[in-house]
Amino acid sequence: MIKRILIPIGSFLVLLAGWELVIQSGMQNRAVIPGPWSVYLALLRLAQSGQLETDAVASLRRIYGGLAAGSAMGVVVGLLTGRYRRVGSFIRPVLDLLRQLPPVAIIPLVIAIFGIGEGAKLFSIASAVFFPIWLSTHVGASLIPVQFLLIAQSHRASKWRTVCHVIVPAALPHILSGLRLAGGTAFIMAFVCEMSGASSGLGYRISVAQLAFEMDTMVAAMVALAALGLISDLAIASSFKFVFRWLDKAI
Amino acid sequence: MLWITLAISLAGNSTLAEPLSIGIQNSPASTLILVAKERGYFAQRGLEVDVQVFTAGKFALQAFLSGSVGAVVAGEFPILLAEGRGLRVPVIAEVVTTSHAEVRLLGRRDPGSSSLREYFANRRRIVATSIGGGPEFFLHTILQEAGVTESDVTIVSQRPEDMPAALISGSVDAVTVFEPYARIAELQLGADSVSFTRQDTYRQHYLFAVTDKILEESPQAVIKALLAMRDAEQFVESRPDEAKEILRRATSLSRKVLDDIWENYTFNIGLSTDLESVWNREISWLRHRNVSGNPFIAPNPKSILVPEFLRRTFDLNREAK
Repeated sequence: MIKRILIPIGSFLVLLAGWELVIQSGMQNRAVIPGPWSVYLALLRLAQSGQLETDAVASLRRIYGGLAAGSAMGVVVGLLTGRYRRVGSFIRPVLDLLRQLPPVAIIPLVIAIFGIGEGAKLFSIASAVFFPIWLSTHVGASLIPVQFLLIAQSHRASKWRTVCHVIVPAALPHILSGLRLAGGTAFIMAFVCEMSGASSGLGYRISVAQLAFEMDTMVAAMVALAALGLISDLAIASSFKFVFRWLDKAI
Repeated sequence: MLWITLAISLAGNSTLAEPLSIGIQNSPASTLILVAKERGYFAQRGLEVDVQVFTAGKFALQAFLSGSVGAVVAGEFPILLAEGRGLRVPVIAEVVTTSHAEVRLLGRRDPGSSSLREYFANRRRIVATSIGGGPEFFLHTILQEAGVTESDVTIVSQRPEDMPAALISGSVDAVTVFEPYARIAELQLGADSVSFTRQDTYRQHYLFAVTDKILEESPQAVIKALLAMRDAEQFVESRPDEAKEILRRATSLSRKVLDDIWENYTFNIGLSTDLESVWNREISWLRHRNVSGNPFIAPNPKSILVPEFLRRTFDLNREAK
């Protein structure tokens, strides 16, 4: 218990001490790289003014909205390409080509087609998370042991029942690891989307603080974004562990 | 004064080309720098200049503050913001002494509104602006004039180069942006566009700044750069078509856009008498803006300016004649 709590706290304290040391040594201008104390004060200011809450809620809405849409699409397409060879050979070449694009590279095109509204941001996030989930679902669905399917057949299970009771559960460890990867991608994309064409969100706050040379506010918003990402990742992992207890090791 | 004297004595004599990296904006405001580079005026004055082009002066300024470039051309507003946060940006000169309708509010034509006040009164508008740049301050002044508070509109942060697409796609009702992006958006919208400008209220000042390090260690490079820009002034004035072509090649802007906006600029180096008053107006707004509860500590505008180099450059030019 002590190890589980004290070691992580210790690593954060070492990070903060190293950071303060760099600032105190004068190696960096305080106006360019603020110290931990001024970042803490900026974080406090953001929280007290209500901006932190507004920005965090706006970012999370985009992240989970995009994650939900992209995941749903990724799982469906992954199951199709993983289980149906003809569908796979038809769709995979295009998807394999498109997934080589860095997710942020599509943003100029998205702006040109959809503009800069919420729909464009959700689309950008959803399309970025689609690929890791599609690929992991595809792999999971195509690696299902043939015995599982034979047993389903011998019980005269319908196609729908086979999908729900055999294919999806068997592919679940892959789908869930894809989801955790996609969670990180969703945070990156939300940040990038909010840097331009937004009026709220942690990415927006980081961007405008940088443009106003408010470095302490900028780093404070970065800390908030990182903390939110960590909490979100832990929450996803814990909820999976709880719901799918038999998959504990895979998660 | 010692380094100025030293600079003058060295300005014409040094045989070794001094390196100088300049960050500029992708706009006609950078014409003198680009012409001086392309025509070899920097080289003739003993400078080896490397020009880095950014989509906005505020991005060039970030490169300047990080030490990636030694000199920069940026608007007066981001420079003031940086100075207000304790960062040093010594301003030597302006590179465009007058400009006409260069920063504008551009929107889709609305049949029910002919004036700015009506435009904002009809419905809640979404306006994209370049936060941290002159267009943000311009938006504030234009809203104030229309009797609209900033809470009555939705202001979104947008990169200047993305604004034409955002406006055309209908994601925003209007943009406040500088040239060439204003003209690009206007051309794409065609007869659907409406433009509001307030030349008497706000003009963006494009300033040439160098690092303290250069001022202290190689002040002669500053004089040489200014002399080269003076040479470029003459070229631009006598051969505008060739100057436009140099600008077109360096910025990839279309010739049509350049032809349309060229006459709006006066390409001279100098220091306008109204610069300090513009800064003072911006300071009074920034004091009340308080975006993140972080108070703006106003610098003294006089302390940002280092006019001695420009004065000496003009003296040297006079002596040469």
